[in-house]
Order: sequence, then C-alpha cells, then structure tokens
Amino acid sequence: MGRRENALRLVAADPQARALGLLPGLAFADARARVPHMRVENEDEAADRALMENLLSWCDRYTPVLAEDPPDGALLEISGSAHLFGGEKALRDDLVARLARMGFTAHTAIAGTTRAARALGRFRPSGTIVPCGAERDHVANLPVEALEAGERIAVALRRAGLKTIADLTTRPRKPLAARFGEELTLGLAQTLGEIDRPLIPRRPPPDFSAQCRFADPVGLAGDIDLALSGLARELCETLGREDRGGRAFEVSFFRADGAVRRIEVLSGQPLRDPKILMRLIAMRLDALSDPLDPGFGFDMIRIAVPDADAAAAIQPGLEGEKGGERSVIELVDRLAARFGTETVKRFVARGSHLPERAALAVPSLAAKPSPWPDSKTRPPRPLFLLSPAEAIEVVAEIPDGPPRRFRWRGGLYNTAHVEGPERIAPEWWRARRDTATRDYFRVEDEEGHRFWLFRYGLYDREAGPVRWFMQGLFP
Amino acid sequence: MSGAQHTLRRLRAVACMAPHRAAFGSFSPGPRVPGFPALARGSVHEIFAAGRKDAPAAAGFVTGLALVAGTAERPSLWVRHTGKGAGALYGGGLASLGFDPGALIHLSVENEKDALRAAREGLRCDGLASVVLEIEGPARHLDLSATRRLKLAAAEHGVTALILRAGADPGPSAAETRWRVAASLSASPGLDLPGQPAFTLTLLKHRSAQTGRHWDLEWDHETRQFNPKTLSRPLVALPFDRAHRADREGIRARAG
Repeated sequence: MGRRENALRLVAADPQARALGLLPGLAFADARARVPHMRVENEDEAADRALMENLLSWCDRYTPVLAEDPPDGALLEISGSAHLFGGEKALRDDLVARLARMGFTAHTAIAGTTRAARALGRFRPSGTIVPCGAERDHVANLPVEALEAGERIAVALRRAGLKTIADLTTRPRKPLAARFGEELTLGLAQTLGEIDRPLIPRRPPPDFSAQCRFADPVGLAGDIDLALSGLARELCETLGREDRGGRAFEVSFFRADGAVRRIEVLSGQPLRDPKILMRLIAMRLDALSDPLDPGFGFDMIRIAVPDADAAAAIQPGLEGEKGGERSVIELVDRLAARFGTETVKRFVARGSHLPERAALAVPSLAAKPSPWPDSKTRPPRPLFLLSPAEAIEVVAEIPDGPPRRFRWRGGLYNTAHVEGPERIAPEWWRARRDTATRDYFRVEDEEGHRFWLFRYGLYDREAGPVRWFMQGLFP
Repeated sequence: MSGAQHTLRRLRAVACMAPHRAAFGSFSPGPRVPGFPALARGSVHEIFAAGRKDAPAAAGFVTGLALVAGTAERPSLWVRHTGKGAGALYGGGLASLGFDPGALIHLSVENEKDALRAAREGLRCDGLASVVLEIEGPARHLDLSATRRLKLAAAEHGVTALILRAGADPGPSAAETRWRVAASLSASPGLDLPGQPAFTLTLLKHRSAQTGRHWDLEWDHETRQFNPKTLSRPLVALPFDRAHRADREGIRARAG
C-alpha cells in the first residue's frame, strides 16, 4: 500500500490477492471494503530499490552486460555468454530456478531486441524464446499496451479498433506517426525487431575476466584461495597473450544466497603476474574492515579487469634479481592494497605560494613523478605543516614587527632569532574566503625550537582584525 | 675475569655483529665531527626526541640520516603513527633540508600494529634506501621482538630502518644505535636571524662506540652532512625579501 495521486492505493499484490480482484492501483478503501481481513504492508521504496540493486548485482553472474529495466525488470545481454550455461534455454531455466529458490517469481523472455524482450516478458509471461529475426511473428498477438506508449495513446488506439500489434503492423506508419506521435512508431519498430535500442550497461563491461563456478558452494578459506589463484593464473595468461596488463582488478564473490561482494584491487603499473596479483588480493582481503563472509558458501567467483593497459613483456634479469624501481612500485601496490589507496602518498609540487597548496600530497598510485623546483632559491619551509593553522597569542614590539613572545598550546615562548616577514598575498583569482595578506616569520625560541608563524592581515590597510597563527614546525 | 675469558667475549661480540656490518657498509652522517660514529646500513637505529617539543628536531635529524644513508636515487618510505598535533609532513620542508620530496613515499596509519606492518613491508623491498617509522607516544607493540624482526628484514634487504619516537622513553629493543635528540639554539649568521637547523645529540647506545657522548651539530642542506655547530659567525646581514636574490643566496650559502 502506498500513496499515489493523493490517495492510499494498492501498489503491489500477491497472486492470492489478484485472484480476489485486488489489483495494483485499487484505492485502499475500496480494497478493504471488498476484502476486510486482507493483510497490508506499507510501501518501502528504499527497500524495494535496494532489493532491485541486489538482484541486478546477482544477475551479473550470467553476463557482465546488463541494465535495469524499470520499474521491476532486468535486461541481460546474453548473446556472448549463453554458451557458458549450455544454451539460452538452459540459462533461462537456471535463472528462473535460482530465483524461485530465493522466493521470486520471474517472467522471462529472450528476443533479438531489448524492446521485444521487454514486451514479451511483461505481456506474455510464459518464457518465450524468440529465434533471431522472428520478433514480428511472436509479438503480433500482444495487445497494443505492450508498446507502452502511455495510457492515453493505448485508449485512443483501442477506440480506433487497433487492439493488437498485428493490427498496427499492417498499416502505413506515417499516418500513425501523424496521429499518435513518432514515439509510437519508433516503439513499434523496436518491438518488431526492425531497429534495436542499444542496451546501456549498468556497469561498463570489463575488458578481461575470468570466472569459476562451483557445483557446490565453497566456503573454506583454502578452497577460496585455490580458486582465486587458479583464476589469477587464467586471467594473467589471457592478458599476457595480448600484451596487456590491468591497473585495476575487481574480484566478485557471488554468494549462494544471492548476495554479491565486490572487492577492488589497484596497481600502480599494468600488472599481469599472477603471484603479485594474488598477493595484492590477499592483502586487500586481509585489510577489509568488514571481512568477507562466505555464509553458506560462494557458488561463483570472478576476477575482472575493467580497463586493461598495454604492457610489454618484461625480460627478467639474468641474475634473477629484481629491478629496484620495480620493487618499489610493487611495494606501493601492496601498501595501497593493505592500507587504502588514499593513504599511501607522494609529494607533488604545485605552482602556488600558499604553503597549503604548494606541496600537495597525492595518492602514490596516481602521482606522476615531477621534478621538484630548486629549493636553493627558495626561503626555507617547515618540515611539518599545521593545516589548518592554529591561532596563537603574540606580543610584538611594534604592531607591524616580528613577534617578541607568543603563547601556543598553553606554552609561552620567547623569541631569540627571527627571520621575516615573508609576505604571501592571497590568491585573488581563486574564490576563497581568506582574502588577507599573510606575513610569515621564521622564529626560534630561546631553547632552539623553530617555528613558522604568520600574521594574518595588515594593520590599517586591510579590513578585519589582525590575528596570528602557527603554521609549521622547523627541525 | 681472566684475560682469556675477556678475549673470548670480545671475539664473540665481534662475530655477532660482523655480518651486518660487512653486508651493506656504513654511512657517516658527520665526517667532519670529531668522534662521531658511523652507522650501519641495513640495520635499525632509534632516535628519541628529548621532549615533545623536540619532535620536529628529531624528525630533522632523521631526515638527515635518511639522506646520508641513501644511495643513488633510491626512494624512502616514511610511516607515521602520530596524533593530530604533530602536523603533516611537508614536501617544501623536506626540500629545504636537501631531501628530494619526490623520492619519498609516506603514509599515515591509525594504529601502531599497522605502522609496524607497513615498516616491515617496506624493509623487505630491495629498491628502498631507508624506512622511517615514526611513532608518537608509548608504543606497546614496538618491543624487543618487533625491533628484532625489523632488524632481520633490514639486514636481509639492505634497507636502513630509522625509528623515530617522540613522547616515549627508551625501552628494550634490538636497535643497533640509539640517540636522543633535542633542539638547540642555532648559530645565528648575524642580525638575530635563525641559522641552520641545530641539534644536541646524545648517543645512548652503540655497539662499537662509546655511549653517553654529546654533540652539538647542525645540518647543512647543501653538502648534506652534519657539521659541528659553529659558535661564531661572520657578521653578514641582509633582510629577507630584497631584490638581489643572488647576493642573498650567496650569503646564506656561506652562512651554511
């Protein structure tokens, strides 16, 4: 039961309710008048949505090319994968049987175009399989509603005596288009299989993938490892044949009860060494905050490469020792797999005077090696940067002058040596809130601790109060 | 103790440490400092900040050691497990010390075990020059066996491990050397300008050098070595931001 057109209406009904005449769309008051003891549940759109998402992920086991077919369908492109299941019919039977075990009733149809499959699946729920090119014969008997051109047009067509699709096919299209709009004739052509509406996959199909299906679900860690290493070997062989390597790998675990878990493994360089791949996967699995739960076991595991890069074959060194650079790249991969891609960082210089922006720490996997600007011509910078800067209290001899004494984190510091000011103007070309000039001072206290602090704002020349901040710590 | 027993003990001690020393050589952070010991490559060295405020100074010393320990174009790994107050490692600051920021991979981890694991992972990588493991505050897991494990990994692959500790007291560990670092007032080049980064070092532990010695050193980012802190400086003076940059640089270079 849910709210539609400002009234409580039935949104969905089970077969028993349908037999009693309680169809979706019926007002709730009417339904209760007819069947007083019916059981109703409130509509939960979020839960429906989540269920649909899960089902779509689950359908991924049949083909990587699939799309949602609103409101409650899924379109699977199986031309490339039907043979893996022993043909279209076997695939369909497997799908219906598995869904039935999970408690779903599925209506299916297999046809050459998405539109024909949709019309047949929804309006003749008997599991039609249309041979290639025979869409016209199979959809002929469907009612005009199957074109889904909208209720208004369907009613108009029926009033004109056009009740089935066959009635429309025999007529010239142009007058139909003139009377009912282009949409209708386009829909008709698609349903008849004259033109195809391409399927836009929910997730881009991977370039390479390897999968293995288990007759009995596996749940033991050893078995899973064995399956994974077999898959890694198979996948890497395929990649090797085409001189390609993967920068990203996606491992999907299809649980027997329908849940699907996907894990992504990234690599800094195109990779096709099964041993390294396995090690990365193992580290990633090890690091999961929410560990892999086999439940009653996985019945399928797949490793896919969403995007493969060219990777030339590498000749190993004669002494069998690894190149240093290569081992560092592998180390970064391992660390990224274990601690997260965003954690492992490298510094990249940027053309900015603002210290927070000048040296950016970027994830190491994405970092492009860039030469660092010559530091000899630049004033010294602190080893540790406090960002955001911390407010401090400062006593200066003259308002514009360097600090004499300051209080930071509850400690009082007396200045022994000062260098500055180094004036850094705000970057006016970037829309920012801080628009005041900063005067930086390098300060050393009497015990030899060195700080980098700045005065924010200029007296008399810039609006707003003048404040002091601690920006960084020198060794 | 008889003379023979004494000799035997000494020989045993030499035999124990010989393989590490021979395997990857040693580096000398301060060749111009009298009595400053050389440090073994492919081993573990511990550096303690004398107080919490001395943490940046200790980090500066470690950066210097990492730089001297490194050989030709090898990157380093810096693993951090610190509180928020420690600030973020800054590329510009590394460059100011003469360290190429592009040659540093760094990561911050939430817990100590992860830090140890990352450091071990790094020490097993042949292509690295050094691994800095920075742990702030008391470390429960960084005990004798953990440091021994680090040492084994370091010795096997020739990567130098530098353990940087702030806000902690030295405990049992398998480290080759142990230092205490405090910030020290720099030698001003004049006009009350701050000079080169300066440190007061105490050698707490060394297997083949006299411990308990103190040094007052400063880091020279141009020659990339530690020098004895100079007490007097030529009185040169120029305020910071003036037109003749070349002049000023010349003076700074001389001052360093």
